[in-house]
Amino acid sequence: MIDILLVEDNPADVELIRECLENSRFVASIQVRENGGEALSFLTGEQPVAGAEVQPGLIMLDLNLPGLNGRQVLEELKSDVLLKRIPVIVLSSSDAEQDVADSYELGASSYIVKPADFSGYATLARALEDFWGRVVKLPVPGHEPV
Amino acid sequence: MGALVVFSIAALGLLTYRSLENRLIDDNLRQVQSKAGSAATVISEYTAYCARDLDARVNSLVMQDIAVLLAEGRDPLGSPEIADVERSLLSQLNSKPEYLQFRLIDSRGMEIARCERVSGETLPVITPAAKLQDKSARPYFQQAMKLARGQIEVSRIDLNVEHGVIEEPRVPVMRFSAPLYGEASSPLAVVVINLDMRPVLNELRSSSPPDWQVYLASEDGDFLLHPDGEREYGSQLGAPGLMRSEFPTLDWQQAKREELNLHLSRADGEKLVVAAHVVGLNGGRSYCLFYTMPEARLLASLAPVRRTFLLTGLLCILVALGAALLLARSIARPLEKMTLAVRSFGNSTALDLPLDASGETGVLARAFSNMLAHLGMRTTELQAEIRERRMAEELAARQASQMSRFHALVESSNDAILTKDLEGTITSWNPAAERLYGYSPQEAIGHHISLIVPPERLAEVHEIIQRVRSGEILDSYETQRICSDGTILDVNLTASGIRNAGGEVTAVSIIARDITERKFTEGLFRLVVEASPSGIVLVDSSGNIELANAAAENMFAYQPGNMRGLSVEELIPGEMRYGHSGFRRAYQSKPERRDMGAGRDLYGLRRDGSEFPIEIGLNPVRTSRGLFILALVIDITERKRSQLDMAAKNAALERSNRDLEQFAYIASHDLREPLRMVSSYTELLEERYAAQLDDKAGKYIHYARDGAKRMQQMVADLLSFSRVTSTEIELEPVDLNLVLKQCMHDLRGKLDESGAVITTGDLPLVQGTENLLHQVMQNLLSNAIKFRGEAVPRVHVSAVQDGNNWVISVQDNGIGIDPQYHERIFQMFQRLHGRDSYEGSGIGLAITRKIIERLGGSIWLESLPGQGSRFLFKVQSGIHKPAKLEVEVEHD
Repeated sequence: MIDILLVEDNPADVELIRECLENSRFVASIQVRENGGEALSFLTGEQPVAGAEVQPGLIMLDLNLPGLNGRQVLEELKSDVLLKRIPVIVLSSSDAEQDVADSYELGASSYIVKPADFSGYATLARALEDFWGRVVKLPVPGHEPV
Repeated sequence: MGALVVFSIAALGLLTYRSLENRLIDDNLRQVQSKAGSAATVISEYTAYCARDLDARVNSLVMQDIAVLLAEGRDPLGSPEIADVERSLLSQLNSKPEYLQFRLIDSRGMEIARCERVSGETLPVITPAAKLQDKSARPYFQQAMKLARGQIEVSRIDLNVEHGVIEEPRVPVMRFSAPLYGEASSPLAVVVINLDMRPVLNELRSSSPPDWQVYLASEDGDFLLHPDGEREYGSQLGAPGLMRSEFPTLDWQQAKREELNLHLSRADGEKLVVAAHVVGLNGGRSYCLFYTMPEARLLASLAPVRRTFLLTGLLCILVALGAALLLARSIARPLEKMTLAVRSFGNSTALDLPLDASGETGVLARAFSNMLAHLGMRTTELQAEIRERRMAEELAARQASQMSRFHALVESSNDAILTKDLEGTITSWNPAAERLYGYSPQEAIGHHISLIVPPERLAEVHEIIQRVRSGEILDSYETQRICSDGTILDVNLTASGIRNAGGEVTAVSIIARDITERKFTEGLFRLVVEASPSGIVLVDSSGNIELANAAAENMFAYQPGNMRGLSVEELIPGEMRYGHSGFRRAYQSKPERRDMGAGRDLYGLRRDGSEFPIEIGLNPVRTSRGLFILALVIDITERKRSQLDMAAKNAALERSNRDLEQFAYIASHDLREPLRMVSSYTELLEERYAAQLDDKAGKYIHYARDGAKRMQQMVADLLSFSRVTSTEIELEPVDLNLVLKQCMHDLRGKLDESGAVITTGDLPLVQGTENLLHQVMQNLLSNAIKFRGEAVPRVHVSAVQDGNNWVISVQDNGIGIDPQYHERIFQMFQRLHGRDSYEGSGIGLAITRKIIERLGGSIWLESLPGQGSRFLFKVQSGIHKPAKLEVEVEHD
């Protein structure tokens, strides 16, 4: 079971992701932050809010964000010695090759184009569960590297 | 005593006679001597003129043009410069009957231009190129090639040689040759004049004093003139040294600077009296002109004197004999005195005779004195008579020779020459006048000149006669004349007066030249130049405008005629003006047809100071007055303006295209977001709330989802379409065989499903990117399979080379396309068939065409309904043959 941090400003998207992931068995909880600044504060504990005591095991990051965009957030995350080990899945409506290449370059673990319809989300949910819930062994939160 | 007297008288008589004889021979010789001197002057004058003329020819403009041509190494034969030279040489020959040939020989000794007077023909001709000869071995050519600029080689007088053989009948000539240098440091050619020596030699022969024989001999001992013509030109005819063998004692070489005047014996022993004169001609050669007469014949002319002398002497002897008997002793002294006096008689000093002696001696002395006076008178009379007769003969001969030369000149002239008296009656009429006006001499002579003057120009006749009468010479008087057939001619007249011995003008000579053709050509030329829409400006070598047409005057805003004489620099604005004379000189040194100021923007300066953009074409024009530059000027104000307009419009179009592509990309990208929401939530609605909705609501939701899906597809297509141009690409050679293989792999589902068979020939490397070419092939192949008919789809892919391009063909056996739709199918979202028959959004071919165009190629199709389709596209070859390789192939 994984705690997920979703960074997404569009409530309609948040709703769709919640719809398809909340019932999935590998998801423990979904925290949502609407912009990059909030997401970073949450992760570094500068702005403690409810549930902040739990570090997420997976971050799902939209690229098109107000303020700091997804790319900058990703850069910040990967330059932080503690946060860089948390896998980041970029979730974007863009299928531009440049965006895909840049994201992987910056250290994203995966790049997923937002599905065009709800059945696409259902398929995505199954795939995430299969891969992130069963195949991949994620670091246990709290076990900091020495 | 008597014997003494007879002896004395006889001795006295003999002495007197001898003195007389000597004096007579001397006088006679002196006359012939001076004759030889003046004859020598005639020869020198005759040849000196030719030398000066040759010098003038070498420096003429046509020759200098030839020098330029030869210096540039161009082939002279057939060139316009040679034609100019030939024309010029021909007119020289025409006007100088004593010239036989006028030639130009190149530095290898080959004649390149030649005009000659062929024997038997009146008019000189230009020798055709095929008859030009190699003269490299001839001494006058070899000598001239060694000369410095301005020097002249003068050959010896000898017989003319053609093709190595002495010309028959024999023509004595002198060749004047001079090197042609131009700007070069060594001679480029040699100009040669052959001077006909016959006139002057004939004149020498015919003008020799009666009873005298004339000879002309060269330094090397040849006779050039001899009473026996067969002894002339011995060296050339194989008998050298005739001079020495005939006159062994005449060594004129030693006496070069002195007048030879001597008695000598010919080889046959005859005693001769000789009067000689050395003639020095140009080029340092000398000739000896001498007259001979047998001494015996000269003395024969003294016979009357001798007779008178003997008669008188006899009388004296008889008288003296009688007196002597009586006064032998008393006269001895006076006789002695007389003897002395008589001895000095030849010296023409006053005689000291003892006239006052008394008696018989005195009588004798007086009688003797009378006799001497009588003798002296007769001798003086005789001499005067001889002199007068000689002078009259000489004058007559000279006049006759001059007249015949003048006559020949008039008769052979190409210009019509006629004379008329002061009333206007025609008095002479040469053959050229007959040719020009159509009247024979019989028809013209005796008629008034109004025969050939158009009625409206009759006043001119009076004017011409008056002006000539007042001493004026009319030159280049342009007017019109009428021929026998009524044709009006434009003529150029030269009119001058003919004077009598008193210097009074008694007649008028007219030389007329037909300029009708020239006038017509001039008129035509003027019309063409004036009609030209381009400005035409003719500039002379110093930069002055010689001619400008109306278009040029208009362009530069000058009044008609006002541009003529301006410096061309006045048409050039500002800073360009200062460098222009330099450009002009550079052009003159290398004149060729070209555009002016290659690559630079040129501007013209109007009279009002405004400037305008122009284009100028330069053409060199060679004329008898030197090099002119013909400039064609085009006002390109309009062209410039439309070029600027075009550039601005192109830039705007490019911007607009770029904006549109940007718009398409952004629009399609941003449109996806809301579409995704519409699509996802209608689906969610359908899935989660189906139970709460009735059938109609379910149908509506279905339509909404379907519309959203299609719109998503179109947006996606639009995005791919705009990506074709918005993505940066780098072209590289791509192997179409590999692309096709990949496509077949990607399409294997469709292939399996349809059973389609794809065949292919060997495909080439083409310029593109793998990704774009993949899209093209994939689109064409899937179309070929998609639009299939009843039969199993068969697709053949092949390639044909077209120069540096390849044409790729994709041929199917599908349903085909009506030609009216051949263009429409390449447009975006255009479908020919219902969605039910063939799925797809109609973007495939639009993208395909866009890609092919991006690769710099083109795409088209050949198809008819029911007969399959053949899509063809042309792209650049992926292998660029290096240019060098092609050159090598050519060498093979």
